[in-house]
Amino acid sequence: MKKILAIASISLRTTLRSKVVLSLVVILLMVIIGLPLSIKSDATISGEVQILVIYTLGIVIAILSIATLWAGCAAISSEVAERQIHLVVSKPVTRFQILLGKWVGLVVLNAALLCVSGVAVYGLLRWNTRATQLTGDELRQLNEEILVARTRIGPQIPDVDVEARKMADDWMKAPNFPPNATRAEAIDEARKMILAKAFSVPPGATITWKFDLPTRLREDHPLHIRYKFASSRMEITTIPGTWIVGGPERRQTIIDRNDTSEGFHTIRVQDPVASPDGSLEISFRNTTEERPVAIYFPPQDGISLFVYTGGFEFNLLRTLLILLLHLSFLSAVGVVAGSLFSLPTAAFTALYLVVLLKFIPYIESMAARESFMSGPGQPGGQIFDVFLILFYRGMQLLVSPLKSPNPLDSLGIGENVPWSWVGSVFAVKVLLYGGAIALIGRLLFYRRELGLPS
Amino acid sequence: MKSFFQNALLVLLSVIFIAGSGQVQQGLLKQRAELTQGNVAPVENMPPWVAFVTVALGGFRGLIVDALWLRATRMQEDGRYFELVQLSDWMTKLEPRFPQIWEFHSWNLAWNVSVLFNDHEDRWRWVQHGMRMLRDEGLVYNPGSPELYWALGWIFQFKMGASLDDAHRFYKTSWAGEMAELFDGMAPDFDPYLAAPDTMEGLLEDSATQSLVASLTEAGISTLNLEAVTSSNATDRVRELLENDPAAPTLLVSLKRQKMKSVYKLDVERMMHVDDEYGPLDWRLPDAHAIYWAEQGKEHAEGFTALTLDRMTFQSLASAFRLGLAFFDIDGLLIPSPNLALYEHVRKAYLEALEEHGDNESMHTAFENFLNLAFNYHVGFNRVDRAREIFNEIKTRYPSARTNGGYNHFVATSFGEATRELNGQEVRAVAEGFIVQGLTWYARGDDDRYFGALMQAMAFYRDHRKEFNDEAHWKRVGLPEFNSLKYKAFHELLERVEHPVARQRLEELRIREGVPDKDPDQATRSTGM
Repeated sequence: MKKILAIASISLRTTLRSKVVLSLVVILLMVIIGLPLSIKSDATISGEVQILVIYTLGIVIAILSIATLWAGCAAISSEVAERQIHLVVSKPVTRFQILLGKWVGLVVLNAALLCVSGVAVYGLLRWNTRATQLTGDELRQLNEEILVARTRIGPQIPDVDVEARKMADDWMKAPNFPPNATRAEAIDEARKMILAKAFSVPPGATITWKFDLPTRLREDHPLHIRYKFASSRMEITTIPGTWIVGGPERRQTIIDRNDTSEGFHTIRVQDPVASPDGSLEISFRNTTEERPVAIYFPPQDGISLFVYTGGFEFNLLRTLLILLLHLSFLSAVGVVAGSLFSLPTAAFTALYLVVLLKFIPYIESMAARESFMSGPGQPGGQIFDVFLILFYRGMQLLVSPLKSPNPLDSLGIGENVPWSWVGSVFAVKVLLYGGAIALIGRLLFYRRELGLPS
Repeated sequence: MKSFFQNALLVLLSVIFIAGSGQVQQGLLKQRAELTQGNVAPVENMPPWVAFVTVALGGFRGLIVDALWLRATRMQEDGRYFELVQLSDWMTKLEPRFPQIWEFHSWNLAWNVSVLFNDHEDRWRWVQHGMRMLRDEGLVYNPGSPELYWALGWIFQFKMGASLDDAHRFYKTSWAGEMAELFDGMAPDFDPYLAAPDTMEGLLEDSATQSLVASLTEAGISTLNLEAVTSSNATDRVRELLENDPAAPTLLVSLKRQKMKSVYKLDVERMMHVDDEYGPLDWRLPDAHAIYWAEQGKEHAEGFTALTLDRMTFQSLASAFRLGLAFFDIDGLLIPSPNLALYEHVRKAYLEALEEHGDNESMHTAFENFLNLAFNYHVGFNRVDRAREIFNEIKTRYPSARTNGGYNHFVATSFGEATRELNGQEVRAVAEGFIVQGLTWYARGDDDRYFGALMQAMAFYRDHRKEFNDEAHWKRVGLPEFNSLKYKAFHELLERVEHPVARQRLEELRIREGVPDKDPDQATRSTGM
């Protein structure tokens, strides 16, 4: 361990001497201070705060990602090119320790830069949202909806599998059932149809959802119901409705609303009374009797409950930790690439891998296809199909676990970034993939001849 | 030495190629101006980063725009609207000379995103985002794009001017409030505005103004602009200076003109030309602005685009005739009312269109409908001579059983049909016309006619309410309570009537009918002091 830390320390000192760190700090601070002056929000204070958090930290991460890849690639490759590595390998350290030492050095450097950036962004945020600058409503909205960590809870979704299977089987018996459709597809369609019906509200009708509240619910913080719906009218229109929060046997909060279809709306509920089993009933009554309109809440995101879980500061910390873990993964990619190739080749290889990660959704969509080239008039296409299907599915298997949502998107809208998320990113990006890359690096770096004439 | 000659040769070749590309560039620009509709020379005042990005990224700009567009779509679907302004800004700045991108994103913000909000203030903010994107940036980068003038005019004509959006009255009131800061009454008094300098440098050339500005600075005005001098927080000394200093009127008008130019991109000279051509327009209402931008677009348009801009002028003019005068009731609620002075302009525009598209049946139907509407308005407002003129024209052009029955028969049957055929705002205007007519008779001493006209107005109003028994409909079209119409009619007439006996009779009637006296603030806004 001492050897690894010694190498890490040497790497850090070299970096500091080369003024890379100083330059990065200056660039990052310029971004953090300058960006909010140039970005445009929707002219609300909440919009400004959200933009500031997401874009400022987003650009900081983009800069650090590029710098990390470059520094990682250069860490060993430049030493090999300048023959400095000869001095290091002649010491009693293994090549794997050299790799790890370089990686630790980069992680420490990133942690320090991220820390500086995080503190600067937080300071700027607090300065921009100081109480004297805002109205009471703005302050309340910020403290309740944005500068917090709230857990998003979806409603209990009814189990419709049995009904969906039965419906699908009935469809398959019908003469007009498409011959090329599978039972799985039919079940999927049936499930969607049943859920759509369950989330529809005809005029005068009431729909009730149940939400499982967390066990430690903070009573001094309100809940927020966020919802959107579509209506049976062609145009976007205002729909009257009544929201009832709480079951019939408990104290209920009743709210009359006029909301536009298609838009997202939020209702603030103070002190809701949950059922003894910890669930909360929320009902919506469609009161469009005069001009009847049916309403549909999309099951995926039609209605969610936002519950206070913690403060903004720890949410920011967890977000920064996830970002640091991502940078650590990039460091591993860079260091290993730099240990195998010359700097330009390593940089392009590492960059290719990073770009590949951005195309994971595309790879997944390709992997889901059953054919690429075969079909009427394409007799030879089947061989290519087999090759492409194997290629994309293999790629999917390889890169899909690395797909993860951007924690900044959650932080920006006051959504909780749980520790479990930090843990899963650590497990996947650092332990699993970082470990695999390290092992590959160890294997190949050991075999590399470092004393070749130039 | 060989290396020196090689380098020199390369430098020479570079110079030749750069000079050559400069020559080719001129030719390309010329061709672009000739071949691209409405395009003009490259914008000279692009911000450095926009100029850099457009040149440095080259063809890759399109890819970045695609990625941003995907994100913007996802954000919009997720209800995360706060990013849309910035994303739209980046997309347009990456392709600043591509009018369709400006047109799409401004339309998306002003039309699509705005209606997703319940609160009218929120909606107005998004309409303004779309409007500003076109007016403040899109047209700066594409000053020769008729599509962008059309898109901007479309926001004024339909988003704000028509009643398609539930919040249209809020838009109109907010816009009228902003315009009321720039000029008094329905339009600027063009001569003093044209005489006042439209730049700060020009304003400060005058020694009397310099002295006033120095006094204002001493009185606490650190930055000289319209907001600072008209702020409610301004000190008593500032107010005193603005009231008594002989240079103050010019200073105020100049500051207003500067704001019109810098913020609203309104050129007073151009406004005056538009007003001379089509007015008198009420510039507090959106129709006048739709015409203003359409007229600018026409300077760069040809073919179908020119036709659409023509239509915009024509339709906005017709709309301004129907409801093109702003009035504020005692609660500050905007009540647009007919602008009968525009009748000849609209008629002329229809006749010109008929000359061009005389074989189009729908044009004749539109003109007949307009004449019928104009007839109702003129009868309602007691403009009998003009009403007879219109009747004669209808009788000549579009004879029917109703016209054959003569003028009185036509009056009687017109209003029977009106409830079904007119929209809510038009019905309001007609009802208001009846009240004004009745009050005019009363002022002249004819009580019977007053009661007759008032009964007619009430019946007309009641029939419409019965026909559309829908609270949401009344709310959307902005049909006020009958008493609000009476309030408006009383005060409008009291401002016009000068005869002391007539005024006294009207005042007595107002008190007897329980119509409130005019709020001094509202009086300022509606009459323009």
